[in-house]
This record gives sequence, C-alpha cells and structure tokens, in this order.
Amino acid sequence: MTVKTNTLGLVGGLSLLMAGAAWAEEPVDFYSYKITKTWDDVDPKIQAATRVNSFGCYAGCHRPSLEGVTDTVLPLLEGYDAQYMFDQWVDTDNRRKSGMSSEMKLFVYNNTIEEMEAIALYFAGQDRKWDPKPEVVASDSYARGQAIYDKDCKICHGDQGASEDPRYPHIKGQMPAYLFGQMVAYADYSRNTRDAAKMVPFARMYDEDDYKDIVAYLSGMFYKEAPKGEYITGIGMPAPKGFKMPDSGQIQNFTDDFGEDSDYIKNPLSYTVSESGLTTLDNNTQLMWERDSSRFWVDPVEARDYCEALELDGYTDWRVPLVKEAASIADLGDFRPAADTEAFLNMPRGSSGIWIFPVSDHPDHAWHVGFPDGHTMGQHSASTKLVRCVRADGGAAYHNNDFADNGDGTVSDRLTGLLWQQNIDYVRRNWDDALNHCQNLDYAGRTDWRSPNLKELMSIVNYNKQAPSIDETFFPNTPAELFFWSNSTHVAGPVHGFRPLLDRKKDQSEELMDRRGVHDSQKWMVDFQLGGAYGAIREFQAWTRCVTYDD
Amino acid sequence: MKNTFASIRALSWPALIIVAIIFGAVGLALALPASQTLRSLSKNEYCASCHTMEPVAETFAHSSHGGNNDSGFVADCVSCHIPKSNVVEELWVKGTSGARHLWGEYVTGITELDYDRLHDMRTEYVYDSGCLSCHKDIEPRAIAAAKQSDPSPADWTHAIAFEKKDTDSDWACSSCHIDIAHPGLKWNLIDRKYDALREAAAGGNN
Repeated sequence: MTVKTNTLGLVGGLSLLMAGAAWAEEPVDFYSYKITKTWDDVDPKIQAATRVNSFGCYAGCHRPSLEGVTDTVLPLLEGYDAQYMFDQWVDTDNRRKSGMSSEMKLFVYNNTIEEMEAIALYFAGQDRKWDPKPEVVASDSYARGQAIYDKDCKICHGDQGASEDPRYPHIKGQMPAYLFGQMVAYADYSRNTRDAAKMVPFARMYDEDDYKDIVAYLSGMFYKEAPKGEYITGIGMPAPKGFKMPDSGQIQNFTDDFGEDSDYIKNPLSYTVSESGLTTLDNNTQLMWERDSSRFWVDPVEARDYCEALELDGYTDWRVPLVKEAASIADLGDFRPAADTEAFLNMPRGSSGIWIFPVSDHPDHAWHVGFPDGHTMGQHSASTKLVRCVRADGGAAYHNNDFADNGDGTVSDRLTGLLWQQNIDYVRRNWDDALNHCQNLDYAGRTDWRSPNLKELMSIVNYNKQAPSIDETFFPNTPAELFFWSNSTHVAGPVHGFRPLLDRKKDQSEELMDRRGVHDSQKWMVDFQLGGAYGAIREFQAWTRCVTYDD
Repeated sequence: MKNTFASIRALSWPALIIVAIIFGAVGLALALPASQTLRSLSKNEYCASCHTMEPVAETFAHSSHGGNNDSGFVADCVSCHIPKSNVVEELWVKGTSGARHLWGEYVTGITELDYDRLHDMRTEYVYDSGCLSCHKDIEPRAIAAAKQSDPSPADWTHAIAFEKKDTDSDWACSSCHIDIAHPGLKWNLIDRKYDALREAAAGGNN
C-alpha cells in the first residue's frame, strides 16, 4: 500500500490519497466487505496517514464535529459505526444518490479498501459533539419531536438517536439539514441503497413539519433550509459571436509519449484588460469577465444577487458564470491560482472557488470551479465561496453545443471546432494507455485522433442533465459510472503541491517545463454522472473518448 | 335457452349419468396435461430460459432463496411471483404475467430489464401471500411479541406491517426486503450492458 503525502488540503480534499480503482477490480469484495479490524489493529503508519487524510474530508466539505458549525447540509462523520460508514461511503459510487451523495463518487475510487476501512475506523472512534441549544430543548417542536421519536424511531435508533446497535445508525447530534434532507429522501424513495428501504415506510408516516420536530429533538438545533434560488440554467443561451475554444494553458511535458495536452497548442489563453482595469475580455471565448472577484464570501443566492446588481465599464448585464465558462479561464499550466493573475485579480492562493450554475442533481448541490488547480466540483449551497461575474453581448453564454451527427460514427461540434468519436470502445485503461489508444486509433476513416484536454472533454458535458450528463442523442450509451480520461496533467503534482509553490508558469525553469521523470502527478478526468472534473493517479482505469480538430 | 333446459330435463337419469361421465372423462383428460403444462411452465428452468431473465436467474442462484443456504433449499420463481390465494387469481396472474413476458421477449424484443423502473414497482409482482406461505411464523410471532414489553425491532416492525400491508403498499414484504432473491441485480445488468457494448465495438461496427 502506498501512502501518499500529497494531501494538498484543497477544497474537497481533491488530492486525497490515491491508490486503487475499486469497482474496476473486485466488485464483490468492495461492496460486501466486512470490517473485522479495530482501530488498534491498523498499522501505525496507516493510522498516521489516516489522521492526516481525515483533514481531507474536513478541508472543504464535511465539518469537524468539534467546530460546532450548524449551517451545513452534509453529515458529521464522527460517531458512526465503522461498518455503517464504510457501506454508505462505498455506495456513493453512483448508487446512493440522496442529498449530495453523488459528489462523493470520486472519493470511493480514490481509495483502497484498506484506506477506507482505516478512515471509517478512525471516525468511528471519534465522539460526535452533543451541544443542544437551550432554546431548542425548551421548544414545543422539541417536545413534539420527542413524542414522535419515542413512538416510532426509538426502538431501532435508541434513546434520542444514540444507537448502540450497528444495524441502525447513530443519529444523535447529527446536522439538522442533513437529517431533514435524508428523511425527505427516504420518503420520496431517492435514498434506496442498503437498508434504506426499511426506513422508507417510517419516513412516509410523517411529513416535513414532523421531520423538523424530529430534527430538533435529535440534533438539539432547529432545521434551517440551505439557500435556494432561481438561477440561470444556460438553456437556450446563444454562443458568443467569434467564440474560439481556448487551450488548457498546459505547456509542460509529463510523458515521452506523444498525445498529451501540451502536444496540441491551438488557441493559447489570451485576454484584454479594459482601459479602466475593471473588466477582462477573453479573446478566445469573447466572454467579458469581472477582473476582480468579490472580496467577500457568499452563498449562491448572494452570488446571483451580487452579479445582478453589478455595473462595470457601463455594462449592467452581469451574471454568475456557467460551468464551462468558469472552467474556460482556468490555466492548467499554472497552480495556486490556476489562472492568469494579470487578467484575473484577487485569486487567493488557498481556496479560491467561485460559484457557477446551474445546480446539479440536488437543489442544494451547487457547482464551483476551484482555482487552486482548476477543478470543477459540487459544494452545498449553505457554504460560501467567491463570485466572479461574467457577461457577453446579446445575452450569449458558453454553455450549449452545436452538435451534428455526421452519420459515420463521428459528431462535429460546430461551436468548438472539434470532431468527436461517437462510439467509444468501453475498454477501461490507465492514462498512458488512453493516450496511446487515441494516437493509434483508426476510426471512421481517420487516424488523427487524440485524447482530449480537460476543457475539451468538459465542452461536451450537458450540465442540465445527469447520469449521464451528456446529450445521448449524439453520444448514446455514455457511461455515468467511473470517469473519462483527459490528456491533461495536474500540473503541481506531489512535488509542488506544498510550499514552496511552483513558480508562475511564465517564470518556470526548463526543469519545471520538462517533468517527464515525475511519475505520480495526477491526471485530469471528467465524470459523466454529473460533470465534475477531478484528478486521479495515472494507473486509474477510466473510459476514453477520442477527439480531433474538425478541419 | 329454455328449450335446452327442457330437452335436458327430458333425458332419462341413466342417460344423464352417461353424459356426465363422458364430459367428466374428457374434462379430466384435458385438465391433466393442462396442469402438467402449467407446472412445467412454472419451473425455474422455464423462467430462466428467456434471454432477458438470465441476470435474474444468475443473481437468484447467489441468494439465500436460490440455494445459497445451509440446506440447499431452492425456492420456485412462482413462490414469490405468483400469489398463493385462490385458483382464479393464481391462474390469472400466471396467465397475464406469462403472456406479458412472452410478448416482451419475442414480440417487442426486450433485451434488458429496466431495473430502476421495475424496482420501484416491486410490490406489484412480489406477492406477500407467496412470502407468507413459507414464512408462516412471522405474523403470529410478531403480533405476540409486539404485545410484550421489549419486542425486537423486527417483530415490532412486522407487527406494524401486518396491520397496514393490505391497504398501504409501503408496508408490503418487498417494500423493505429488497433484492433478497436477486442480490446485485442492478450491477449485474450494468456489467452486462457494458460487456455487450464492448463486444459490439470490438466487432468493428465502426
């Protein structure tokens, strides 16, 4: 077992330990794995790594119980039975879809069974804080909740949710919005994995007002709805006139094999800052950006309102960017921030995520692009991020494709000028094999195929649908399971993930430009369950869809 | 009609008895092979003979109901999927579900089951009466235990279920006990789908 030390502490613990593809190898073992160890049986080295990696869980999404945060829709991880936690975690691989579960998919594949077991055992040994608010305990809601709980819940979940039976989760002190959301998910049948079916009839005996009472009793806190709003969807918005697909910005070499990102330079990143210095025009996409991001942290509703009220350089039609738009200004050749710092100001080096729309498979699941490295992930809408507004003439947006099925197994996108392999071969490969597969592919009478870079691969995602998040008219049978490879590399890698940070791209030495000897830099991939963009080790087994320029 | 009855009444008793014996013999002669046929159409091998049912049969074989138990007992498909109520309902369900399956397999050419859709409607084709014809002790035990001071969660929940199941499909046996006879069916279907697509792609369709 390899214990990785490149925990970058990114949003969502993006660079958690990476060692194995789970479902790809041993499906039965993985989903029916029984934990027989205790924490004390775990190898001391793995114990130490697990303590570090628990902070990956905390880095952006789950809050530590001790912190006492209440405004989250995500569960506290402490205090569950280890087997229960392990089973629920495994199921977030495209199985358990209630609440924000879909966002956990990456972290199932990024860990070995042993690593997941150690993390489950670690959190099982941590106490969940119980700090009920006096005004809640004194409330009628709490009393009503107790009456319902004692009548229909207690027999399984124990006194006030403090279950000691591993078959029934310990729910005392869990986050109110999480408890509420899960009861809703049982009642509408969307939580349906493992033993969930046994909860369904009980959840359906009560309504949402009852859930609020039960939540008050179990958490000692009042349920508070995460911010929800009407956001733009991008549907029907025309593309900007003169749109060109920008390069990823990656110019560094990571392999001797031809076919990686830096081997295809077409439209280098190019920006024009306005005279006032307040706005930045992307010369490729023709999108106009707020040059400075907001200097305060906002939830998605506040982000929307901020852009609507914005007036810069005489323009008033500012809005929150759509997913592909924000991803299009990422510079995958740079790191912390992965963006041009002349064109875009106020890119704090740590966690400069900006909100993007539309929301994903759950109203509380809002996207962001994280500019430490350029990842696209979901985060719950009760959290806060920065906002950087965008606009384009004629209400245009980079969101909708202009596909044409050429009838020969290829699909043209007249927006991006790319020609796509329509029918993939459904073979899972590591990153290097994916590069070579496309280079050697003889398909639809062409041999000039290559693996797409991250921005190209994201360009065919349809963020208005899920599982798969792609237009199936043009790309039928696209797997929502697992991920698809891009030819782009996570530029920082394990060596440069911590301080001292990489030099800025323009100042990088020849040695930093030529990193063919660095083996364990993560490679970027895209998930077509929702459309996220993440890094994984190059040995990961993912799907491949090849692309070429349509000319 | 009146005339028919009148002419029957006009027959002598011996003649009526002879007619009854003839009808009875013909009826029996027809019924025996029919019940033989019905029985053979109810065997697991027959159910599994359709291509679409392969993943169902495969996952069944791994389940406790499919022989993966200490005694080697194997339940019949029809034990769960045909009601154990009265001959009329049983034949009706057998006939309609059989016809529907044959239609799907041979006429509309279904090649794979839509797990998500079918899973959501499972209480419509898993019959509580089937479950209870074997698991006879669950109901009396649950009802007795629920009256005691410290019932187990299972007995307590079953007691609620028996009270509600006839009027509320959320409390049917298969509402809670999912996939017990077909563990991993959804993922078996997904694996098969990609295996088939991989084979088709390797066949050089493009």
